[in-house]
Amino acid sequence: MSTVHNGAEGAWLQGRTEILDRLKAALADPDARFKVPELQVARTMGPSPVTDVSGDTDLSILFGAMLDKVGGSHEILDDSEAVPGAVIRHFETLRNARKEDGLSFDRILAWAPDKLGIAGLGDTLRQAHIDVVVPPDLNKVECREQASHIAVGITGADAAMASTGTVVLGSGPGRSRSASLLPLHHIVLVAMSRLHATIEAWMATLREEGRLDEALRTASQLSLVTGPSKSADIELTLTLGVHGPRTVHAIVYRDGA
Amino acid sequence: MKVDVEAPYRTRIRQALEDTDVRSAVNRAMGQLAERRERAVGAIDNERMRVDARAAREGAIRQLPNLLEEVERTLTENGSVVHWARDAGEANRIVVEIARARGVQSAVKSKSMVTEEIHLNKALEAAGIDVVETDLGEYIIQLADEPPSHLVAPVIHKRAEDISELFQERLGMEPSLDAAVMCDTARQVLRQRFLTADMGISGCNFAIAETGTVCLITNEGNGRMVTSLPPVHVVIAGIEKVVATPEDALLLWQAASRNATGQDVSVYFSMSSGPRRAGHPDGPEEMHVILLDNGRTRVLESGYADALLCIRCGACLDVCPVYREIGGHAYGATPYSGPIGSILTPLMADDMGATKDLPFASSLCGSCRDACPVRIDLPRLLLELRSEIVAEGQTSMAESATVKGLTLPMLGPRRYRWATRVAQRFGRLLGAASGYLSWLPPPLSAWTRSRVFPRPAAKTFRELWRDK
Repeated sequence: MSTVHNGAEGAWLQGRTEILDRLKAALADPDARFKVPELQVARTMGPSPVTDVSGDTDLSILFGAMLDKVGGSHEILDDSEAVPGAVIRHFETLRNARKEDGLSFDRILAWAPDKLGIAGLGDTLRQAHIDVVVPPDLNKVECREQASHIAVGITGADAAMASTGTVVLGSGPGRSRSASLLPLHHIVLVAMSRLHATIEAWMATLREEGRLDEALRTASQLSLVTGPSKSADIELTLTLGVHGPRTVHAIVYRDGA
Repeated sequence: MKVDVEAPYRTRIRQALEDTDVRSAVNRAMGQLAERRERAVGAIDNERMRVDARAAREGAIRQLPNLLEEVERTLTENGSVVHWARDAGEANRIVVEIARARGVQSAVKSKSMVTEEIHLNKALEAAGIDVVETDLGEYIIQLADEPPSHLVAPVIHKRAEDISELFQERLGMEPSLDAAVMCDTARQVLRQRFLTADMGISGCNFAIAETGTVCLITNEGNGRMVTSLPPVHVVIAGIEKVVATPEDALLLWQAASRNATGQDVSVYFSMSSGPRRAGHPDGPEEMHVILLDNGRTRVLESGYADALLCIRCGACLDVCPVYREIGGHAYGATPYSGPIGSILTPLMADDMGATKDLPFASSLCGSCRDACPVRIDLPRLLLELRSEIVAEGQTSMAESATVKGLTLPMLGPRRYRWATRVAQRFGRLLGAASGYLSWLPPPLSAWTRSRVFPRPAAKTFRELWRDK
């Protein structure tokens, strides 16, 4: 990035040094910098969970209820083999309710089949005349142009949190950010083994399993999504689908684990 | 009449109070926001969350230089380019340089108070770059050429009628007062901008030191668009935005959501750790993070580190009886209004100048202190700042005389006894029926011109005590 710093390198270094030096000098006695300091000793443990979930709660049911509450919808399947049929049924419901808005319902913007984690899903969709589009490079104009007219997107989820109805979507090879962002409708497949009670429980699991860096840093972007896109900017009136999807439908399924 | 944000303090307040349309719109909206907030924090152990959130923020500010060095390292490891800017001018120059190096012609921006603070749009426009706001509220005020009036709900001072007229005039929308129709119009226009922009610009809610991650809170999804579609993503982050761990960021996200909009969590929380890697189908090719001081170090040096804990949720605005009456524009040309803005704006300024009046725009009722999710004692800070401003003689003679007049009797028991007796007789003389005096003779009239003065009690406390 040397082109960017051209000629400004000196000023940049000077700025960095000045800011850090002033902060270090001011914080030599941090207590003196606060009017009302509260932190007597440094905290050793992470924060407590904000939401409580009792031990015997069925996480699928709680997740579904919380997602419904924020304007999403869901169904719970006892068998992963039922997933392709459920996807097609939901897709057809959306297609039947379509408006004349220039969006195409003969295709679906998707994560790569192996990232969706449901065997045979691609074939079943194609048999139902729904073309599966897995974009190779959305920074190419024609690829982006094509993707932007697709009405429905489908993704898996790296994790999901029951107490808030949140899904975690990591970007990566075969896992576009766009599939959950550009279409008007988003279908998300959630394996029960990836459900956590709370956001804090999810973080604790990542730490325990030593997967924190992998989850956050190699993904380049981790999106936590809780329901459909919304705005209340006009007189606090709730409107859905401002920029992101207007509907979010979760299909929660029992998997091997 | 619109509030002229560049006008002097008293003029702005008068204009705001005379605009009954805006007053009732803001009052109604704040009531609703406060109610939603009340419900959301009532559903959880809010005191525990406040203590945890306070610990996360205070811990970060106490070790700010270390965390900044750590986040610089982790951001760089993730492939982001880190820049440091001492002030608004430096930050704007850096953004323009990046834009020039990449041949950027159009940019999309997600809602960010810090870019309002440094007037980035003006700098980009001066460099010939077409920049568009993409948060619906920010887009509306950009079309109307007005500054935001609330940290979270920037267009809260406008009615649906005003917005509809604006969209008809500027976007050729068919007449409609339906918020969904207006939203859809904006969606169509802005979608094209997202797909074709050369650069995405965002602020930063939290920068995680441990993992080099920039976090953005949004509900509309524009944050995800801005950070995912354009080939270059530029982040402007105040240096106080750094937090130690992802756990802290996720806690503060929940605290901000409940307090800002009454949601359990916002719809989107985007955690960006660098540009797209090889083989990723989308995401920016380049990511830049500008760490901006612009007066924050000064706030710390002045001994107001408490104010740097703020997570910009707007709860102190929503519960403030003064903000509800005067709205955000009465606080002047600053994106930070309400109680927290009255502290940050003068302290961050090179020269307090005209902003020295802001700490006086409060009744010190304490609602903001009770609401603040990171337990900032706002009335205490306002009071300290007032006394510093008075001590430095940065206020009118009459006001400082009144404050001094109220201070002198406190300096000894005899003086106090004498003063309360004088006040007692004086009170009887003026014979106010209510508990307040709305007029005092000169020179004290300088005080009652804009405030009421409590009527002295019929009996002093000492007399009451003696009579018991």
